[in-house]
Amino acid sequence: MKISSNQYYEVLTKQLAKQQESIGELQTQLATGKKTAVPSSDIESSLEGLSIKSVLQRQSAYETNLSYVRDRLTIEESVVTSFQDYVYRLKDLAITASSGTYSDDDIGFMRAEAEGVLEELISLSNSRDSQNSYLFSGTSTNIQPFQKQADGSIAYKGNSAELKIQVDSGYEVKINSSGANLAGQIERTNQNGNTQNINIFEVARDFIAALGTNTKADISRSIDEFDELGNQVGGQIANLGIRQNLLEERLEIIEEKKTVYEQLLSNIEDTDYSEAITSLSSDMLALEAAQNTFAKVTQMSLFNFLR
Amino acid sequence: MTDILSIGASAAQLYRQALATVSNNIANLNTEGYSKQTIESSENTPSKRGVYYLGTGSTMERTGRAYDQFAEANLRTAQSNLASQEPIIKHTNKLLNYLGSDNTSLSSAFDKFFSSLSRLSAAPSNATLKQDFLASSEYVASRFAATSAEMGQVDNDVKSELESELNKLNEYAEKLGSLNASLAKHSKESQQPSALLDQRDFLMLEMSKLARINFVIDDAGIVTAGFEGSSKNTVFVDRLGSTTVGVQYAQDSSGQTGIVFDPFGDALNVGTVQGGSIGGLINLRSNIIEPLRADVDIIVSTFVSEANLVHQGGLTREGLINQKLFTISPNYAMTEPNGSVNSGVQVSVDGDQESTRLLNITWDARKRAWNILEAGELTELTPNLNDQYSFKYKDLSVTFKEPPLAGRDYRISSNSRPADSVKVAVQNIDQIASADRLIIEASSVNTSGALAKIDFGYRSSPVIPSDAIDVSKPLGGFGQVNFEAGSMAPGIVIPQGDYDFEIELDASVSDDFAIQVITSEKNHLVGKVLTAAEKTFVDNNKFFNSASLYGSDYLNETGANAFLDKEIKLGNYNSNELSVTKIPLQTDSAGNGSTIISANQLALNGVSLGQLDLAAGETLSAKDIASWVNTHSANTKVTATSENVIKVDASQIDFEKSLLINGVEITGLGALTDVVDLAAKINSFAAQTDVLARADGEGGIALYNRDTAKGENISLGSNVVGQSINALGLTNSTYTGQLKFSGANIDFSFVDYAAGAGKASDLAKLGLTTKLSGSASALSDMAVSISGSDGFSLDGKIFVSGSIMNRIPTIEDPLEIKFTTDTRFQIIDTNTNTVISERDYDFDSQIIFNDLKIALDKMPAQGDSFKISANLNSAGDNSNLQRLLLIQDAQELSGATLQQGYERALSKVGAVNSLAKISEEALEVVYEDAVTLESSISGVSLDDEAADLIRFQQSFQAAAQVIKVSSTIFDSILSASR
Repeated sequence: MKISSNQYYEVLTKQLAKQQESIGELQTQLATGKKTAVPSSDIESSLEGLSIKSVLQRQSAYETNLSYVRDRLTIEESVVTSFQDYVYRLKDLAITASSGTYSDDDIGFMRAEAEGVLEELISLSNSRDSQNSYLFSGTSTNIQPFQKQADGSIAYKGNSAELKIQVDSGYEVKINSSGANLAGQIERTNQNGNTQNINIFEVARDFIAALGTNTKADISRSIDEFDELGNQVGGQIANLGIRQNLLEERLEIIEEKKTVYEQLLSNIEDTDYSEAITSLSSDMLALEAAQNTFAKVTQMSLFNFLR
Repeated sequence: MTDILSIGASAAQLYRQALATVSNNIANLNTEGYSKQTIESSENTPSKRGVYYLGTGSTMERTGRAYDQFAEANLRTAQSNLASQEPIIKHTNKLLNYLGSDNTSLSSAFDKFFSSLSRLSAAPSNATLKQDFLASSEYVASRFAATSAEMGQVDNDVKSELESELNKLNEYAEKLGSLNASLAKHSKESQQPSALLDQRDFLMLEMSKLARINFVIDDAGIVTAGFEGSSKNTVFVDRLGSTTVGVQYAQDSSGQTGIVFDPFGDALNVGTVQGGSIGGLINLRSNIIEPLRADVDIIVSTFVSEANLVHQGGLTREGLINQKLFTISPNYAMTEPNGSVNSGVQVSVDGDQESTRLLNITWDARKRAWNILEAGELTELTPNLNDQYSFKYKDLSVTFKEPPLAGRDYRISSNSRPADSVKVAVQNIDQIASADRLIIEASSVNTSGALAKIDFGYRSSPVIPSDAIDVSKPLGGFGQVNFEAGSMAPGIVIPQGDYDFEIELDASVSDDFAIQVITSEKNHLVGKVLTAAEKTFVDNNKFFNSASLYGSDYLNETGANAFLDKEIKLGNYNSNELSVTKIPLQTDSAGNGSTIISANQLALNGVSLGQLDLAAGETLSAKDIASWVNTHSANTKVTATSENVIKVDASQIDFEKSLLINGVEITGLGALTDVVDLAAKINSFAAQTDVLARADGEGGIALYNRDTAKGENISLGSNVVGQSINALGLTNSTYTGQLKFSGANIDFSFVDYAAGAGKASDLAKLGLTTKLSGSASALSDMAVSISGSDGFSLDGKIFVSGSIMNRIPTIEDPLEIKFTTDTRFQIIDTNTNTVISERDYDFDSQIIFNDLKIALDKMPAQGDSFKISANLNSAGDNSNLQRLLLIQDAQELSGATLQQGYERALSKVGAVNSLAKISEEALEVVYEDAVTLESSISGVSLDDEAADLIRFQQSFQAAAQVIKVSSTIFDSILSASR
């Protein structure tokens, strides 16, 4: 078939342009390190990239939350541990006081110490976290959980609601401990046979009162009560430990997830340098060849022979 | 004559022309649309010499045009197909690059929103995180608007490109039309100048780039053109010239684009335009851009409604529920008649209204006033002199940027693109509803130690039986309500809410039924004690909560003993005055005397009324009732008066008929002609009838008792057998008179409804309806049903006042769940100490009450109690934020999450984009082929031309040699003769 001269030039220039375009694309890939500079050039990968990025962003949010919970649990643990120490200190005082070998002055000193310990217990139960929220008031985090009443008793003003946060899709962890749990609960049977539920603050107050009157029976009763309450707090410490371990595991899982997704994202988005460079050299070779042939072929014309 | 010289001369002439043609070909090598020209020569007519012929040389016939009609048509089709892909690729690229990029995609906006929400949920009282959450809400809303604007911008680009392509088409069509006029000079195409034909073919090719066009070429080479597939009426280029085509956009958001023939004349729709850039652009609008915008709108509105649903259920730090997180309000824009947007006006709207509106605005220059037409309602507004181009109309502020043209119709409509108009409703961090609205606390004295959790959103709307009437639906009177016989099925339902109702039922004297009001939790509030069978009906009816146990503690109770301390009144309660205009006919037919109402059935103002008797053979009259009521006046403080006035309309009076009053015939009526005489005539019999008459001043008369017989019955009749209507035009019957009760209160009630003392029929006997009135309960639905042996169809009316539509406007009053045994509990309204529901506890199904689900973590014990109250002091509660977070994973977009839905919408566009790219590549090949074919026929090849040049040059040299030879011969002859 006859090929018109115009057509001839057009085809050749088009081919050159195409090759140049492909080289340009490879050059961008190599320069940006990304396979697709714009989503329209490969929308499927771009969409996949978007959803992977979304997953990654969620993992980061979970990670932030987990670290927050971990910090919070660490604070809780240290508070609860000190709390337990003070409960056992009260128990020690009770044992000492019940021995009967101490003078009234000594008992008086013990009472003063017990009062100090009670204050410490109250202030520990009213601890706050880094966000300035009370640790042990349920969801009423802006309300001081343990408040002294006019009659000297300690009332719990928080609630028992659980505060949970999402640390993975469909996976929630509890982040707070109720003040009521911290204060503990034991059953005391009165002389008249009635039972009543009382907490550490009530036991401590009764103990202080018993020291004041040096009532031996009440002091010795406190020993077992403090012991039981101390054990209850111990249970909470163990529980906090378990929860912290679980959190660590979660954090590791999230780290792993992130690595996997980052790898996937990299597969989709990042330039495969060896492949790109190979293609680039072969494309450049092809372009050079096309340019050479163009130059040569266009020189060929019958008119050259008309001289 | 044939001689060598002329042969040589003709040949030299021919080859000179041939060389010129070749030169012309070379000269036009780069001329667009140029077709290679060829020489067509022919042998001259030979001359006869005796028995033989001698050739006489050759001449140039004409220059031919290397041209193939089919190759041209082929090229045009390839051109149309190829050109249709380019705009699709170009614009979908734009859309994909915007919507699919990391920074501008909605996907990343959602990510930002939810991750900020997630962080806030870990520390819900942290002001910085709250602020960050608000900012990310604003960000999401602004991304919606920007995305919508971007898609709108692409749509506008497409529209303006379409308009410019149409302008090109019109321009080419005009040129082609005038070319047709030049071609009309010759009747054969072969006679036409090549240059004109080249131009014609070039125009056709260019037009094919714009759309697939059907060209028809006649013998003279004249072209008619119309869009492929369109009718003959819309051919826009013919031998006479061309007609413009225009564009019209659909007013709705369908994205339809119409091409219109002669837009300022006949304005015919040409139907579907395919191929070329115009076809591509039209296809792009309706099949890609608009569906994408619709998809995005659905994603946005789903996100907003889901987020609002959750947010409205939560409690803010300000202690409010029902607060929206986002609002959607429409944007207003002015549109031109062809549907395109006119930016010359600015409209803003106050408030949050979601319906779409259309306004037609005209400026009346003479009156200096705006006329605004909306939904058939015309408003005239005279603007402020200083600022006459802006005005406020209802909730709209309209500003024209340029002076309006008098008389022109400006259309302003609201578009219903949710994505355009999402705004954050929450103003400050204290309005974020992060907490649950209620909190549940186990009582400290509970012995089981069970902990309770509360969750929301379990409310199913009341099961209103299809044949029952819902009083909360706006209606004035309902006509009839049908109560099913003996089944206790609800005939009327009073759904929970904060409103008052009054239901008026019109019973007849013989109806024997008891009106029952029972809550959906099976609290019997009003009625007669149920039989065992009736209780079974209640237990089996789906309206009533099957978990609840039947209770009658509040049955017919009043004051503080009533259900929720709000009593429901049954009877007929009035203040100051009560008139009864019609007392049903009640006659002692047995003739022994009878009791109409037994003693202690009805009470008036709390005083039990005695027996109402009827003397032997009598018919109960207003006077009888009045005197019965008046025997109790000292206690009831109610006095009753009676009268009997019968109105007679003038038009009904027929003097030809007979009239008996109280059995006495009024004679001589036939001679009368007017009502005054009739009254006088009746009065003349008053001594016998005890009835007087007077003209009523309106042309009729009124009959009434003489004072001595005030309130007694009046019987009317006629003495003609079979005549049921008498001379007064009234039915022959006993007329029982009217009653009027006076007193501070006139409250009729039933003495002991629970025991069956007092019935609606007792009130009916006095001509009174029975009314049921009270307040709807905020905590349970109520059903009105009827117990008794029969079903009834009763006339009735309903009156409702208060906020019915907004059923959960405030937080519930405190509730208590109290276990009366280890397995049975009551739900108690603490403020009124009312047991709303009593149920048996089942650990597996837990407790579902209205929209609440209360779950205990272990079996409770007798005496355990759980308090549910407003969660006002929970700065640290993140429960509602947790619920908001769940939207991220909710599959609300037909099985897809927001993220997936967005990706799905984009991948649809992506598929079109890649398909168009592939098609373009394929069509490019087809096009190249077509070009190669066409150029192989019509194109100029320099090598060919060079060869021709050499050929014709040599031929010319040879011809010159022939001339030289002839000259030599001539010279020889001349010298021979010298």
